[in-house]
Amino acid sequence: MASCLGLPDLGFGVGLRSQHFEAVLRHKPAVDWFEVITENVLDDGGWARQVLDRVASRYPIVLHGVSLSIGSTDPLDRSYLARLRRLADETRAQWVSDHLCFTGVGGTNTHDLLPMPLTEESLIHTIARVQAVQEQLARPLILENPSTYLEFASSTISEPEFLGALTAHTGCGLLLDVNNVYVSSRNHGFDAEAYLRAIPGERIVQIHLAGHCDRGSHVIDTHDGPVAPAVWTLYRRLLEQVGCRSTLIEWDARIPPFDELHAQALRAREIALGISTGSAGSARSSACGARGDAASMQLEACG
Amino acid sequence: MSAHELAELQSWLQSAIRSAAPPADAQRRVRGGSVSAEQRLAIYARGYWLRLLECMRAEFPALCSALGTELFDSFAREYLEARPPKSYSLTSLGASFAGYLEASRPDRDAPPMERDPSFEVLVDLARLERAFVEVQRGPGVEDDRGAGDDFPSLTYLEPSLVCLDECMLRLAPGVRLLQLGYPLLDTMMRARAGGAARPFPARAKTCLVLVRQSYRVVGFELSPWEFQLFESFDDACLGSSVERRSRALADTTALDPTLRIGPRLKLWIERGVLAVSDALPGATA
Repeated sequence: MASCLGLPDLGFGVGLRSQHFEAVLRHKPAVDWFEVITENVLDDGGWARQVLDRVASRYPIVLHGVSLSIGSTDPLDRSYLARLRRLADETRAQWVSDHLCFTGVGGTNTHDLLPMPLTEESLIHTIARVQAVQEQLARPLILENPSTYLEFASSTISEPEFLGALTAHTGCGLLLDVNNVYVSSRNHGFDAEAYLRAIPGERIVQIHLAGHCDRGSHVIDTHDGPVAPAVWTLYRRLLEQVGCRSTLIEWDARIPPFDELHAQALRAREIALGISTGSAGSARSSACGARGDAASMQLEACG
Repeated sequence: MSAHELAELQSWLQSAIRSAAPPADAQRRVRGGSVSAEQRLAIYARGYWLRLLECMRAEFPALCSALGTELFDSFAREYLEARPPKSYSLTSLGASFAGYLEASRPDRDAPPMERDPSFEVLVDLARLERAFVEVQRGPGVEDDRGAGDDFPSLTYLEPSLVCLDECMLRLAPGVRLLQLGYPLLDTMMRARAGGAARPFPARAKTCLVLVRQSYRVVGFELSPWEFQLFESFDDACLGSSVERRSRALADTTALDPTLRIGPRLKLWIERGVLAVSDALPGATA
């Protein structure tokens, strides 16, 4: 079923990490889909790329990048984009995503997702770059809200407003990371549920869930544990608001056995199915019911 | 905020997180609150260095084990400060590390005999570990795509059946040749397998080849004539000419005149170091 931008609702997936290569190839787990970090395979001619090809022949794949640097004032890396397009074509990626951030300037790549000043000027700058990227990739770009630890004094626009305007002007989609919303809300003192209400739900193609580390005075987006209760609550609120969306569990450090990771995706499915059979609106119930069927078909295909 | 101001602000943030101390104007540019502007910048700075140093340790586990994490990190941090990452790929992070260590050694201007040998072995180990990563993630022949579109591989043939007189040979894609001052292959392989660090071996000039077999990197020591022969493979050449070139190396490499070249070449085909195909039309010796 198409959920947004004509892109399918893939169900409930997990990030494909090297620690799980053997388990995935050997046991062919009943996962709806996998997300792959683009840069981990983009230039790889070895085992990682071989595994991706094998996984992509059995499961839907999404490419999730960390180096697009869409907000940077450096020129777009056209070579990177050409390689990304080729990889997306070769793996039949369902879509390509990255982050609303910049990763470096002046030719340096910090390999971090650095926050942007949210102003009219940076919005205009980013709109032009998203349009250029979509043109070269020949597909819509899906952008994720980053977790942030600082806000610039010069910012004049809220993040939901910025993302809303960006999607409206470019046609790009949103990857809403619910954990990032929670992390940033704690770090900057805003209302996470109000943030969710302000996001244009019809543009959400995908949802991320992950664990974080609560340091008391602030929260770090560590991806090193299970999804926190507060984030599950926000996820439920979001689904009540917008209906089901392709949902993915990220777990990048202190990575557990595959079954433990997969259990998080199954919990997300339980929540979604609970909403679909509950008192939510009929249209949303219908969407989630359809996803349940699709998930079952996926189980059969992967068994 | 103009485009120039946007660029300036991004440069400011990047410099702030790569610096040891927060900039003086942090509070003017970054909103504070219960966590100060300086503390917020420090979160990014800590993450930046932790991430990059973790990647360097993962790329150079034998060097890290030999030096200890603290000393390795200090070398790696100096390197990253001098040569900040440019590529979108973290795989490129350590590409210049060995060269940096060599260029920054304190005795680099001393006569060769007066140089500290302990530094040379570290540079050699860094070169070897970098080559390992390049072979691991580089192109290979596991999928039978051969050594390039213009070189349809016959490596699926039993090497003993290959007739060297009638085929073309070239180095398989992704193969790395190294000449080191120390025999460090075992040191590296043991460290990558999680083994404890041992004292470095005594100095001894060593020729190595690293190659991938079934997606695993393996290394072999080469005799000097084999190293020179493989280094001279800038393109495909007829197997018969390779045998003649090998014999020609006898004078310079003390090649045993009784050595049967053909079986040695077939051994390297079997090990995936040499790729073999039918003789191409118009091929010459």
